[in-house]
Amino acid sequence: MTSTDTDQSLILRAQVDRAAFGELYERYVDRIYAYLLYRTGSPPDAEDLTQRVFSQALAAVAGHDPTGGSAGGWLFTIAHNLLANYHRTRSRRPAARLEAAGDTVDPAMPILEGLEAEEDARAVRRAMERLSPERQHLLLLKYVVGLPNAEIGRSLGKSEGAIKSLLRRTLGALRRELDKEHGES
Amino acid sequence: MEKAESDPKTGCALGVTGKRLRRALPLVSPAPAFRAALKQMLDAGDPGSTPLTGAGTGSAEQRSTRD
Repeated sequence: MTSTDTDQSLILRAQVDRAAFGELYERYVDRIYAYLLYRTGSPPDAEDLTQRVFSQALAAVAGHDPTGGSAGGWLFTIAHNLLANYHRTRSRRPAARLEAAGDTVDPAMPILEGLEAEEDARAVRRAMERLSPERQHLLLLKYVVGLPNAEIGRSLGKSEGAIKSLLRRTLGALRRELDKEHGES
Repeated sequence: MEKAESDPKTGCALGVTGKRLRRALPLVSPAPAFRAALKQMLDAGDPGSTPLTGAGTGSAEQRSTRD
């Protein structure tokens, strides 16, 4: 087992070797959890949903065809479906508490720089909350999960070119929200 | 003007907004105890049998209906 295994070879091995699934878990658990935390705003709910994602993935891995996309894309499709149920039950819009979910300051930063960085991070998260849930989802997939555009496209049923263009428009919308926020302060 | 950094995954240049987004949305890890317990359950091949979070409080969906 090596960290240089591609997702595809890892899934193929995980179909017959549980240790390989453990490697897949280590590779994705932080990103899955962070994504779920930003979408729910609740650490216990994010943990619960993380457990379900990997539980469903383990149950399905034997029949999964890894040639259709990366393991990340597959796991995030599972997470996305579980979140849809979660939000349906909650009857509220996703990412309602995005601003609070990422309150962390790098302890290595000098205090003043840390405060400024945190203030900026909060402004970005506030601006992001004013975007549509679909646009917030896109930014999380790109900047938290780190999925490539082609993979995001597969997960959202759009072409890579469409995602690139949507991303450009979304970043433009975010910039405008940030400018507004700057103008108000 | 702020210098753009590269996306570590794609190698593409990140714009200033992308860089601010990365800082605003840090990769938050789950609690180490949860992380290890789930790994243990996966290794045992039975990760769905016991909810690891808030023992006795039910699943995220069940909790949400009580909120």
